[in-house]
Amino acid sequence: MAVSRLGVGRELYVTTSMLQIQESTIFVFLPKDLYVGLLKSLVFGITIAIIGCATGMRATNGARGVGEATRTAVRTSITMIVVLNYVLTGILFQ
Amino acid sequence: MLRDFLTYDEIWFVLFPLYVQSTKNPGNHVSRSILFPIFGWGTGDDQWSWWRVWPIYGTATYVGFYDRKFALWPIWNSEANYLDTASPSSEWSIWPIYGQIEQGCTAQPLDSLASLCLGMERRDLLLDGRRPWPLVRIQRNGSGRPYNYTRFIPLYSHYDGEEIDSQVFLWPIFWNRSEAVPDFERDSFFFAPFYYHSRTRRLVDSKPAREQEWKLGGTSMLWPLVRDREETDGRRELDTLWPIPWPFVEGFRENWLPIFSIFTHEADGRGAHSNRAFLDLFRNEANETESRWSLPILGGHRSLADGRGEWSLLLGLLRWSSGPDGSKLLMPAIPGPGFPLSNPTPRIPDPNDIGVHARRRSHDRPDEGRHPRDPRNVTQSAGASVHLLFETARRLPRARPRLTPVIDQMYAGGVLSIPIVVLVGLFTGMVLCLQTGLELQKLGQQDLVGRIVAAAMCREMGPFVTGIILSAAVGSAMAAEMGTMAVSEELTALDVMTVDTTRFLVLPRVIALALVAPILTLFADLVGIVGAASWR
Repeated sequence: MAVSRLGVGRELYVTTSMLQIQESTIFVFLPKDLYVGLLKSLVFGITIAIIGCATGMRATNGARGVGEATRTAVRTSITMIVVLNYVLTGILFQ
Repeated sequence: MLRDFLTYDEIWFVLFPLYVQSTKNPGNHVSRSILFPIFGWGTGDDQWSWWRVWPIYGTATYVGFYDRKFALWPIWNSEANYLDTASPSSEWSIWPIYGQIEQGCTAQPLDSLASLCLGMERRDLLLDGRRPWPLVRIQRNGSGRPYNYTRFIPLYSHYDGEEIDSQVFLWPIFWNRSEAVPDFERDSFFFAPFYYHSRTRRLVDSKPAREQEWKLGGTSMLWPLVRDREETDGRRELDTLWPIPWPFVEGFRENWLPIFSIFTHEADGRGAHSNRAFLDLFRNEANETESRWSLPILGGHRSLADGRGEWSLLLGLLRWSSGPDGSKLLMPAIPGPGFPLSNPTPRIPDPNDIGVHARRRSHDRPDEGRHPRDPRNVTQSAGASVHLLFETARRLPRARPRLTPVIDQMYAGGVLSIPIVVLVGLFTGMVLCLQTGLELQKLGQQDLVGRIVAAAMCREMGPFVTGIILSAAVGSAMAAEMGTMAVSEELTALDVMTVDTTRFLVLPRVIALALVAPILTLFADLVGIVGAASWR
């Protein structure tokens, strides 16, 4: 996209994007942009698993209840992801 | 060999410290050291070079930026910095006898009479480490703003400038400082950590008459006994027992002080004040309309501005009011969690139901028969999630989860989601690139698109997209699986067999998803960034 539509050279694109990722290191080995993203996705993974299991374990009322639990799980976990994303961004990027 | 280490693009270590070679790509700067840090040299694009035989002699030049030399480190040191800016600086020093800094036209040429060493900036002191900490420093007669600065750390230091006059003895024990800006003056004295005293004057424009008026304020502290703080707008705080040896601590007073305080007085400068003592047990508060005091359990009194008063004794059992029109008894006010207490009828199990024991779980449920959107359901399911989180976390330190279920879950949740994550990541990166790129192109800044796409993918879109996909694909599957197990009473059966369901069902799933989510995020980031570059 960058090369074909915008006329940005491939070299330039690769150099600038790698530069961006390498910048602002806090830990020596992981660039901040990357490890913050990975930390976020770790939190998301735990959230999804916990919410899925918790709503599933509380299901009652046969097949209908299972459907209801699934729906609740997806709804709740997406909401939590959106909210946690904001909160984590606020904390980690100050 | 290390690539992309710290700020270098490439570093070779051969039997470190025997030989080190580092490369920085913009400008192709190559540095080499033998027996690091003793011998070293570096060359670049014929503007940048350095060499050193540490600690005997060394030099570093970057044409147009800096020129630095040292001999017998740290004794002789000479530098010229910021050559590319409007105010280049040059400095030299013979440690510990003499040093001098000059900076451009705006700067303060700096005479040091008996200075052991000089240092202007933290950068020099901490990071470059070219010189030790300047213990003595004398600085006079700047040509711009006049100020004098004398420092014999740790015995004495004196700064005399336009707005601040500060003296420190036996740093950091005594200091005495006066500040004056056009509408504000403050004199403060601190004898760490025991005594602090300051006087503040603020010039206030009284709006109606447009006349100026000095308002006084001040703060005193005798640690740890008393702190008294009076603002220029009339607010006042007086605290007995002040446990922190500094009188201005943000948020401490509101949140922590009641634990320590014996007596607290507070006034807001507009007529309201409050006194509290002994862990807030005795309280006396007043504002424009009423004043009241209270003792725990025994009772309290409230008097209103129109002359009426109310008494309440023994937790509000005995209340009466008095006033100009006589006194009368009031209804007792019952404290506590509401009255009458709700008393739910216990559920009686039907003895004819043979499944009564096995269905213990469903009988414990108070939420049966509620409307699905009942708010109590929401709070209870949130509570269940948090409870499960803590249960899982509690089992985590001693968890020896069998590997097979974890790997099963990682396969089901992670490997099978790779195609969709890759596809969504690709299109997210492409659309991000296109949208920002087209906007940047209007400004002629399309070269920045790589940075923006990389930052946005790594920080936001990668984790977010992965999270949404995982919750839709994997979270729903987990919920359905566990739900089916719950409905067909497999969970109850496991409970009966004293199998820990949290450990055997929940923990592997949580671990698997926690491992798989960052990996999928990496896939999404990579595919997004690369795809944004190359696809049409």
